[in-house]
Amino acid sequence: MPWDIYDYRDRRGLNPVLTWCQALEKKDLAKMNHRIDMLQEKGKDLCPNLVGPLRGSPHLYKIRVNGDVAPRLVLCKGPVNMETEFTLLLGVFERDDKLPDGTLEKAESYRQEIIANPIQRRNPHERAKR
Amino acid sequence: MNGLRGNLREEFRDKEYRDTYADESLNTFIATQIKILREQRELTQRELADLTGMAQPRIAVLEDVNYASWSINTLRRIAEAFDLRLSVKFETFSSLIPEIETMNEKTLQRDSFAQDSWFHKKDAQAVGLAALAGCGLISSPYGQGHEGAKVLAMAGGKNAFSAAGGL
Repeated sequence: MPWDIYDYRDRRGLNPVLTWCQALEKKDLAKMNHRIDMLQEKGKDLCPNLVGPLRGSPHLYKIRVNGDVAPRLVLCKGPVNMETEFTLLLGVFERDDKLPDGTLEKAESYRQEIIANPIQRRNPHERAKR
Repeated sequence: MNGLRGNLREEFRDKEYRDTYADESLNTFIATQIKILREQRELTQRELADLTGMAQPRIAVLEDVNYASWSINTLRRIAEAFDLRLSVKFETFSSLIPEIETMNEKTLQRDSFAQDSWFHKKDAQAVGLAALAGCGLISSPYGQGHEGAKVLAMAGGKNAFSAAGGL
């Protein structure tokens, strides 16, 4: 059964995940959209390492895409319905196999904002297009 | 038209986009099927490594959707370890969509030769099925109208048809 995918929405009502995805190179966007499609169609467990855990947080995961740069999309299961949803929280670029400082904290604070106010702080996933 | 179909129908008009998306899909499909086939046979990564003559970390890399440097020789070695044949085909882009939609643990599993029921049916059933295939009533592993199917059909005749349970 397909999963529901949501995007975090900030205080101004904007979708930073969409903005970040739209700025990706075309190839990276195709790879990222494929990963999101697979997550939506199959969940995270069928395809090995479709999403990887984020060290330091039991709730957060990341989607890796290989390329000239290293785009990573940080997400969480739920956080409202843990059986049917994933929420994309923020996009970053890894350097030397490390996420930018503060990524975990920022993603966790976004997750908490959604838990506190799921209607205002997220919306159904908006697909970045070219 | 659902979300996936609608999105890909539009996005695949761009060649670079569809080539990249399809490559990514291939990597995901192969890595996932290797893992599913290994689990179907209740093998650990180390046991599969021993069967293929590879190191265990290499198997872990192959079972990762982020791996992209496949070689036919490596895949052939894995197929032999699973007692399966390797099939490499060129396909249309539209065929990718149902492939994604129907992909699951069951559709990725394959029986090894020892469990491949077609080779281990009772003779009467096998001949009967060949008879039906020879008449063009079912598809034959030989291919419809193939000499092998015709010969078996003639040898099996009406009795073989009955043994197979008719239609």
